[in-house]
Amino acid sequence: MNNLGGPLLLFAITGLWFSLALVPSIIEWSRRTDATPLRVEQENEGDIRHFAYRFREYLEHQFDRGVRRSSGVGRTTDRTPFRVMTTKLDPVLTPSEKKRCLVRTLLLIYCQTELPPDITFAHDMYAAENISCGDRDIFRGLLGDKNVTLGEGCVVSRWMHARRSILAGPNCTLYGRLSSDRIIRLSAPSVFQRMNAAAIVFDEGGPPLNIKTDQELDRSHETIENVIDRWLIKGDIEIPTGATLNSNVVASGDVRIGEGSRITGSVKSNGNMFISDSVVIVGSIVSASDLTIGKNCHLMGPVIAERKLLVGERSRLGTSKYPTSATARRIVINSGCVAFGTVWAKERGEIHSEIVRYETQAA
Amino acid sequence: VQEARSVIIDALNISLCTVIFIICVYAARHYWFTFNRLFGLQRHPYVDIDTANWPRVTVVIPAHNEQAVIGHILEALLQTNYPEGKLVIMPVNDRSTDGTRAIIDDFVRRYPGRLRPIHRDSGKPGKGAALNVATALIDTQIMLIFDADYIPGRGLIRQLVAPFFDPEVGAVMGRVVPQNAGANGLTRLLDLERAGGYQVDQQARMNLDLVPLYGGTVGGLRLSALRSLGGWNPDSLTEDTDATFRLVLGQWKVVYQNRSECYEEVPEKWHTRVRQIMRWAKGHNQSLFNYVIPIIRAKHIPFSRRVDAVLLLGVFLIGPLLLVGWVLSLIFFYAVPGVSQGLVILLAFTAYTGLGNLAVFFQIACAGYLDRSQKRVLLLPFGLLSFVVNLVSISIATLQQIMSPIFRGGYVWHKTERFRT
Repeated sequence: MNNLGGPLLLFAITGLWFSLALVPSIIEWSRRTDATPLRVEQENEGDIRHFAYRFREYLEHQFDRGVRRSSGVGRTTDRTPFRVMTTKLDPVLTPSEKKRCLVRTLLLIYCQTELPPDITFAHDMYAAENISCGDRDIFRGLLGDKNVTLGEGCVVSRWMHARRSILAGPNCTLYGRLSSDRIIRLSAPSVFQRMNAAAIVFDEGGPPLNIKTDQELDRSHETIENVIDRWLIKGDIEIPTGATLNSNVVASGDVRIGEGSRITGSVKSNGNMFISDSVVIVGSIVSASDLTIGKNCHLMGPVIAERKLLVGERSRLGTSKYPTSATARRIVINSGCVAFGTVWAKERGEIHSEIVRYETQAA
Repeated sequence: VQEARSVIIDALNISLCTVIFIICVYAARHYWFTFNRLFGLQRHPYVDIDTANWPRVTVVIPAHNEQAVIGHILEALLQTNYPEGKLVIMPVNDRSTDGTRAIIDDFVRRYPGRLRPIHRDSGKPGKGAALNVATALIDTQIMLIFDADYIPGRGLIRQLVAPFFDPEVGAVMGRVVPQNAGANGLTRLLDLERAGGYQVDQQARMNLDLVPLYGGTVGGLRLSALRSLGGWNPDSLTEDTDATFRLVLGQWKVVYQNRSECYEEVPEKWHTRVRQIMRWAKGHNQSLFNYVIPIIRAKHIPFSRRVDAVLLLGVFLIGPLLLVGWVLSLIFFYAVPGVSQGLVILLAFTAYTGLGNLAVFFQIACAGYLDRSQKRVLLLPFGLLSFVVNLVSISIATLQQIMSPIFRGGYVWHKTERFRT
C-alpha cells in the first residue's frame, strides 16, 4: 500500500497542478459572464446621419420630460447642463466660457445666431434657425435645422448635419461625418473624411458639363442588370482616345482610359487606373490601387479606389437623379468638382486651392 | 525479413514525414492568417458604398420544414432599408410537411406584391436542387441567399449588394454570428469556432486577395456568373463550396464582407452538430475531388490564389491526416526498436503537436480579441472537446466516402435541426 501511495500522491498533485490552469475556464463555464451573442446592430443601416438622428431623439426625449424651450439654463434628466437661446439678446457665452473660450453645456439655439470666433463647443449643439459660426470654432457635434455656415479654420470633430446647407470656409478640418439634406459647399483648402449630401460642391463648383445625354443618365441605374459581357484582360490595357465601349472591363494590371472615351459598363483594374480628361463612364469604377481621374469627367456609378483617389477639376461624380458613392483611403479632389451622394475618405480627404495632378504608373 | 522490415520502416517514415509536412503547412497558414488580422492591412473596399443606384435583387430563402423560423426572416427582410421596388423576396418552400407553407402564404396575403413564393412538392431533395428551381425563375442579376434561421439587419441587403458594383465579383459572403451562443456549452464552443472562421480566416483571405469561401447563406451571387458556370450543382452536398471553386475557375472573385453580419442558429445538440459537420466534410471532399486538379492546372489564376484554393479544398482532410499521424507516431514509439531511427520525426511531430494544434486555438483567441469579447476566450481549453468530436466525425465521414461508391453523388441530404421556439 505504501508503495502505491507515493505515486498516487504524485499523480494527484500533478493533476491538481495542471488543472490550476483550467480554473479560469471552469469559472467562466459555470458563471457564464460572457455567454450572450456577439452584438449585431440589427437597426444599424450605416447611415451617416446616425448620430444626428440619435441626438434629435435625445432632445425630443428630454423635451417630453419637461426640458423647456424658453431662454434660460437647466439640467436634463441625465444631469447634463443646458442653455437655451431664443432671441439674439440671449448671450451665447457666459463670462467664464468667454474667458476660457470653452463651452461645456448643451446649447439649444432657437434664433438666427452668429457664434463668436475661437470657441470650442465641447458638447453637441442644436440650432433651429440659420447659424453662422465664427472663425476657428471647434465643434463636437452640431445639428442644424436650416443652414449652417462655418467660418475659416473651423473644426468638426465628430459629426455635423444640416437639413438645408452647410457652407464651409477655407482651412476647415471636417473629421467624422458631415451631412446635409441639400448641399455641402467646401472651400479650398480643407480636409474632410465622410460626407453625404444631395450635392457636394468642392470650392467654386464648375459649370454644368456638356458631355452627357439623358439616355446615358437613364441607363446608369441599369448597368449591373444590362451589361453582362465581361472583357477580361491579362495585364495592362489602354483604351484609346475617343473610344466607345459597351461592356464591363476587368484587367489584372493597370488601366488607362483615353481622353473623351465613353464606357457604358463598369471598369475594374487590379493595379492603378488613370482616366484621362472628359471621359464618361456610366457604370462603376474600381481600382485595387490608385485611381486618377482627369478633369471634366463624368462618372455616374460608384467610384472605389483601395488606396488613393484623385479627382481632376470640374469632374462630376453621380447625378442629381442617381447619386452615388466615392470611396478610398485617401482622396484629393480638385476645385470645381461636384459629387452627388457620398464621398468617403477612410483616412483623409483633401481639397487643395492649387490644382493637384498625380503621375501614375499606368501603361 | 530484415529487408522487408527496413522497407516497412522507411515507408512509415516517409508517410509520417508527409503527414507532418502537410499539417505544418496548415499550421503555418493559420499563423499567417492570424498575424495578418492582427497586424496587416485590412481590406473592406465595398463597405463604404452607402449611396448608389441599387440594382434589383432577389433574396432566396430555401425552407424545408422551417415553421419555427421562417416567419422571423420574412419579417426582418420586409423591414430592411433596400428600395422596396427593387427587392424581390422569394421563399422556396421545399417539400415541407409542417406549417411552413401556411406561414409563407400568410405573409403573401399580408404584404401583397412583396413576396414571390415558390412551393415545391416533389423533385430531388436538397438545397442545391431547390436553388436550381428558384434560380430559373429569377429575373434579376443579383441573387442573395439566406437560410431560414437567419435574421438580417436593416442595412444588410445593401451591404451585400454593394460588392457587385465591382464587375469582377461573382459572389459575396457576409459574417455569420450565432444568436443562440449562450444556449449551452456546445453553442458557446461553436460560437468561438465561428468567430475564428469568419473574423480571422475569411477576413485574412479577403485581405490577402486569396479565396474567401462563399458559405451559401448571408451572401449572394451574380446570376450571369452562376449561369455561365452551369448553375448550381444539385449533386453536391455543399453547393456553396462547389460554386466557390467553379467561380474561381471561371475567373470571378469571391469577396468577404466582415462587417455584414447576420444572426444564425447553431446546433444545440451534439448529434445535430456531428451530422452537420459530417455533411460539410463530405461535400467539401466532393469539391476537392472535382476541382483540385483543374485549380492546380489553371494557369490564368494567380499562383497564390491557386495555393490557397488547394489548401482550402483540403481542409477537411486534415482531421483524418492528423489521426493517421498520431497512429504512425505510436507505431514508431512502441513497435520500432531503436526509436532513434524515427527520433527526429518523433520530435518534429511532438513540436508540431505543441505548436501546430495550437494554431487553430490561437486563431480563435485572436477572433475573441478582435470581437472585444475576451472573457469567452477563457473557454478555449474546452475547445479541445469539440476539436476531438470534429476530428472523429470528419474522419468517419471521409472513411464513409472512401468506402462508398467514391465521390459519385448519391448522397443523402439531412436538414439541420432548428431549436428556436
